[in-house]
Parts: sequence; C-alpha cells; structure tokens
Amino acid sequence: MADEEAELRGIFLLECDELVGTAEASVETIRGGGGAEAAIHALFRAVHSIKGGAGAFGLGRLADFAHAFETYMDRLRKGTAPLDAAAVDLLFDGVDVLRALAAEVREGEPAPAARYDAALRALRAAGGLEVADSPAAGSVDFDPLADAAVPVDGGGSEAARLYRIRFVPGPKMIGAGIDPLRILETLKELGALSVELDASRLPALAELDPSVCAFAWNLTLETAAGRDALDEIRDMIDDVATFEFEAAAPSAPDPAALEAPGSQPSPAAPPSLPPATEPAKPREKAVPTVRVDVPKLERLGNMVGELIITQAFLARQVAGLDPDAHRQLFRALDEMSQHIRDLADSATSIRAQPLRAVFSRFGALVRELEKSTGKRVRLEITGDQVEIDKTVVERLSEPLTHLIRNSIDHGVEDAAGRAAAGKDPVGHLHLRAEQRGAQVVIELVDDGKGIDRSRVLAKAVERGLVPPGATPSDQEIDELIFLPGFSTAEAVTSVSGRGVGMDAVRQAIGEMGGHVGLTSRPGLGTTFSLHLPLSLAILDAMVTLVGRQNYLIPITAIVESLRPAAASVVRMDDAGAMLAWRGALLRIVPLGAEFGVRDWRTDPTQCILVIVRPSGGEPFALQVDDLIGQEPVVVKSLEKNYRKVKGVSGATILGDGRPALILDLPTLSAATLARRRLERQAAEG
Amino acid sequence: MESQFVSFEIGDATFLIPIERVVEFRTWSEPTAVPHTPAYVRGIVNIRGEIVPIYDVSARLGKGGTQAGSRHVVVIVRGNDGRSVGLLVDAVTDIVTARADDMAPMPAIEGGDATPFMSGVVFVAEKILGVTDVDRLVEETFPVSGFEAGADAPAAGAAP
Repeated sequence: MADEEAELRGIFLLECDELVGTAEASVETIRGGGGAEAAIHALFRAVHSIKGGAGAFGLGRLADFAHAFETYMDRLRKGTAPLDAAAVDLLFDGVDVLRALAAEVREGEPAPAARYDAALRALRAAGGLEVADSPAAGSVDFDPLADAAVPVDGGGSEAARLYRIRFVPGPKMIGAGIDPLRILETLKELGALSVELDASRLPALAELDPSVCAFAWNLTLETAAGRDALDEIRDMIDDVATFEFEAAAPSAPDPAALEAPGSQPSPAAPPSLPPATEPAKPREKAVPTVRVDVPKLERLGNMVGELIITQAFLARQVAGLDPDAHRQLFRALDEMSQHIRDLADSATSIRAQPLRAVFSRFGALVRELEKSTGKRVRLEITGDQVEIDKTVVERLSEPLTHLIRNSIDHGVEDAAGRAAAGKDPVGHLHLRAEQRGAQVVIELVDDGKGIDRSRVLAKAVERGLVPPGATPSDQEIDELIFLPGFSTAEAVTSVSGRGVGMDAVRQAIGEMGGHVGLTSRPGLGTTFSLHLPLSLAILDAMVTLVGRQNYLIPITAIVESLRPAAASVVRMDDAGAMLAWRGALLRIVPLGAEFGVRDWRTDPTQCILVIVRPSGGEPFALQVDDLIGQEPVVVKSLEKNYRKVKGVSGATILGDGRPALILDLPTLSAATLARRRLERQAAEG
Repeated sequence: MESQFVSFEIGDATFLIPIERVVEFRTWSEPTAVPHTPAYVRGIVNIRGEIVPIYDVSARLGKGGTQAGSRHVVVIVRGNDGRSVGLLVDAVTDIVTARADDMAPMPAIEGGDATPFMSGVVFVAEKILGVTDVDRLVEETFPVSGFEAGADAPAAGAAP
C-alpha cells in the first residue's frame, strides 16, 4: 500500500508540473491582456487542483501556499482585488514558488525560504487573509475538502436542488489517504443528505481486505450549493473513486440526461436508483487514457519499421511485373502502403508530446535571469505545439536551459548597451520549434551582440585548440565554442560559465541522436538550432550508389540531380572542383573522397551531381556514381549500438535487408569546408 | 560454482567469452562500410531490424586486420550497457566449463596488446586461456569530438 501511495503521489507531482505549466501560461495570457477572464479562471482551477492534491498527500507547505494563492485568485476573479502590473508580478512570483515547492517534494531540495515567506505574505495580504482568521494558513492538519463546501461560480444564488449521487470508493482510495467518510461529511455540510448504504460488494470475511473500502453509497442531497460544488469533490477524488451525480430536481430536468443513452432518468425516481450518465459540462480530461510501458511502445514502433522495410522489399520484387497484367496486385500494394503510412503516423503520435511541456518552464527562467543580470528580456515562444518523443522532451530541459542562460548572459546586452547600439532596450529571445521532415528543429534566436569572434579565436589559440596563426572562417570560429571545456566568460558569472559549456549541450543533444548548429551575426544576434530526430521517423530518400555502397539523401533537401557537362565543371587549385549552376558556382563534394569509399568514380563528368540544400544552409553539389531510385525508409539509430558518425544522420535497412547510411547534409558541407581549410593551413604552417 | 565460456580462435591463439554475453553466431558476410571509423570497425549489419557494428577482434587486439571470408564467424555479444556488437573471429571452437578453482584474475605482469581486453584467465586441460572483457572490447576507444567540422582533420588539435 505504501507503494501505491508513493505511485499516486508521483502521479500527483507529474500533474502538479502540468498544472504549474498551465498556471504559468495563464499568467502570461493575463499579462498580455487578451482573454484575461478565461485565463484567470484557468489559473484559479490549476491552483485549486494543486491545493487539493497537496492536501490529500499531506504536503502542508504546498497546500498552505496554494490556499493563499487561491484565496487571492478568488478576489481577482470577483474583481475585489485590482488586476494591475503589481498583481501580475505577484502571480508570477506565486507560480515560481509553486514550482519550487513541487520540486522540493520531488527532489528534496528546499525551496528558497525567503522567497516562499515573502510570496506567501504578499498573497495573504492581497487575498485579505490574515494569519489569525485563516484556518488553513496556520493549520498543520489541512483539510483538502473543507472548502469544497464553498460554492464556486456564484452557485449560491441558485435555489436548492436535489441531486442523486452514487459514490463508489475505488481500491486505492484509502491508500491515497482519503477517508470515504470525509466525503460524506463534506456532502452533509452542503445540505440535507440522505444516505443509503450499498454493501453488495462486501466480500466474504476471509477475503476482506481492510485497506480497501468495500462499501458504496447511494445518496440524495438537497443543496443550494450548485453543481460546481459537486464537480469540485469529484475532481478531488476522480482518480481513486467513482463519484457520479445527476440533478433530480423536477423543476429543472436536464435534457442531456434524458437523452443520454443508457441513462434511466426519472425525476421522481427514488434516490436509490443506479446512477445515470453524468451530463455535466464537458471536462478537459474527457479522453480516457492508459499507461503503457515504453518497451511495449518501442516494440510497436519496431514492428511498424519492419513492416515498411518488408513493403520496400515487396515493391522491389514486383517492380519488374507488367502493371496492366497485375492491376489488382498493384492496387492492393498501393493501398497497403497507404495503410502502413497511417499506421506509422499513429504509432509515432502515441509517443509524442508537445514541446509545451518543456517550453512552458522557460518563462520563469527568463524572469529569474532578468532579475539576476539586471537585463530586460522578452521571451517569445512559437511552435510549442510541435510534438516530439516524450523521452526527448524530458531530456531537452537541461540543454535548453543552458542555451537560454547563455543567450541572456553572453548574447543580450544590458539596457545601456542596447540603447547605444540603437536597439530596443528590452532584449528579444525567440524560442521556436518546427517539424522538418524526419526532424524537429528547435531554434533559439537572440537579438544580442553576436559572438565575439576575435575573442573566441584568441581563447582557442591560447588553449591550443587552434594552431597559432591559423585563419579559420567565421563559421569555424563559431564552432569552436562547442569544444570541450571552452568558455569565453572572462569572469565566471553566476548565470553561466560554470565550466559546463556548450560541449555539454552538444553532447546531450548528440545522445538523443540530434545535433546543434549555430549562426551568428556581429551586432545582430545569434541563433542556436537543435535538430532532433523523430522517434519513428520515416523518410523519403534517394538511394545513391558510390563504389559498391548505397548512401541515402533525404528527398526534401534535393534541388536537382544532373550529369554535368564538362564545360560546367571548374577545377580549382585547392578547393576542389566547382559546378557552374544557375549562374552561381557550387562546391562539388565527392562523397567517395569524403567517406573514403573504395572504387568510386573520381571524374565528375562521369558521375551524377545531386544539388542539395541542407535546411538553413547553402546549396552544394554532392557527387555520387549513380542514382538507384526513391524509397520511403525507416530511420534507424547508429548510436544505439555504435556512435554518432560524422556526415551521417542515421541508417536504414533497404529492401534487400542490408543497412545503408543516410547522409547528414549540414555536417557534410561544413566538414568539407573545415577540413580543406585546416589541411591547407597545416601544409602552410 | 561453474562458469561456461565460448572459445574462439584468432590466428593460433584461443580466447574465451563468458557464455552469458553471447547472443548468437553468424557467418561472415561483407558489412556496410561506415566512414570515419578506426580500422577495427568493419561496418554495420542488420540484425533483426537493429543496426549492429562489426568489430574485427584481431585488429582490436593489435594482431592485424582479418582477411575475412565465408569460413569466418561473427559472434554477437551484448555489453553491460546493453549495446550489441558483432565480433569477427577466425572460428568458434568449443564451449568450456570451468570451476571457480580453475579461474584467476588477469596477472598484472602480462604485457602485450591483448592484455587490456582480458578480464582473467582460465586453466583448461593444461592450457591457460584468456577470458575477453566484453565490455572493454565493445567500448569506444577514441574520443567523440564536439568539433565535428574538423574532428579528424590532421591539423585539428595538433597545435604545439
């Protein structure tokens, strides 16, 4: 039973994180001004739910704080407290402390006491709560249900109505620390309650488990408190008990209840009737959910992947058949491939979670950093509805936190510096996400001063990371900040630069199978981009041949494929060959040389040049021996059993059952550039 | 207490692998090449939908690369960290059962390139056979540089 309680508590803490996220989003909305009323209501509900859960699990500090918060919210809601800038600050403070308190329970790291005390005092004062007349504020024995008796949403003005309630405690209810009797007492406080015991579930004495409540109750309650009061109780015990109710007042029959299938509405019926369908207002948690072990989901994903490979194999087998003679076969195959696509989409969506879950935390982080650095920063978030694997969402928090700290600490200037540069005194940080093919790309864009390249280079030379006298390109210098141990902060600040550098970010993202890039423009700002693979990624790829190896290029990156005329290939002294293409010169990257493939065709005019444009990069011409054809492929991880390989984003299994590598175009082009330059410098120096 | 080992041959030497680490055996077929890898990584193969690298044990032990043919065997092993790796060996010869008395930790005095990859020795029928340390064998021995753009370029990191 202790385990069950711990598990329930764990679930509550998870919920608590979500609720804090909701609360924070609501405060952001309130600050923005639009839809403040709905946001206040949402915030109130979130805080109320936290309070209820905290009380149920005996988390006194969290419950006390949520209570003060809620009381203040109630005033805001009713308009008896002003909703001004000070109020918004107070709300943000409140949300931050709620988060810290939840973390305190989860990780045992105490929430900052001064902050807690100050926020609690401010909320109590603003909410009109004084220590003396607030039973919850000072009480250790917090009653999670006490305030359920308080009518919410103006329900008090309603006339008394009759409700029929069926209350069935679930097996975990007592374990969760909620006494069923308490529910009955709470109901009794709402009005005239008649109770009928249903002991039909009572087992034989030998099988009786004292930790499980075997009773159920059919109740009739006549109350003026309104439906919301009952909603509150139900929400409180939803996870651990069945609590169904319906209005039975003849004066107000609920048409929805009358029409609900399976219900037996009869206004005059005796209260002991079985409960009818609950026709109350729609609730957010209406979609039933199940918990599934991750390995099971992984197996599902793998099976879908296998199916796609088998489909590719079948497609190869029938490729030589006459479509007219086998029309039905081809139609069936088409249909099957569509179904497999749909299946793959469903399998992917099961594991997906919107990035909001992690993005929503950064508002608080930015406010905290504003305070500690004295800079002013506005955080804009877009694309937080983009979904990515749950496990990735969880692991993104730390690297993104680091990047945001870094941007505010090193990127965004202080107000004076910004004014001098003719910029808005408030810095702008844009966190945005979008799905591109089989990847999710998250970008953090700041409008700060950009990377100080001369300082970065000097540091790198000083540390022996770059040979003295080398003249790396801007892009190469920017890349230097990802080297292990590299830090340009001249004094270690409290915000970043504690020795955990950008290399940790790159490593963390690399472990998820992704990579980090950056572009920086002096005086204008820096953009970090994280490219993350989707858990079950299906990619349309062009299969190419180099030597005897197949390499795959994502179709979305291909601009054109051509066999170059000799006249359009320009040989350069040191930078290899270039292709004259649409009035521009493109670098030709011979994949065979880049990858050290055996027996590749070296003469570009005997080859196929695939013009590719990596996301956000310059186009270049990839030289391969030949093209084989286009195929949907399942991206498999190389890192699972091996490691990340430069120039390769993953592997797949082709229709013949053999693995083939999928090219990672951004690193391929950057790699070629960097290598050539460094080789040349080494030769010269 | 008894332990079981799979014995395999590299050239004229015989080594052991703890049997619980062995997943399966396969005959050699040319794997898919992978760029930017050390010589002992022969490439990757598809094992029931998973991408598994093949390590040449002879090259790994510093005894030179294997001229692999159809008689060669790949032993799929699993490391403690859950990673699967295929080990290319000349032949798999036997299953050896040893009592605790017959086993000893690796003597510290031994030299040779293979020593770091051995976890102990087993006395079998008048012979002393080295037990391979599967976790050492499958782990990466070279750093993964964050500086992707120039990680393996000759000049990178070669500053005086």
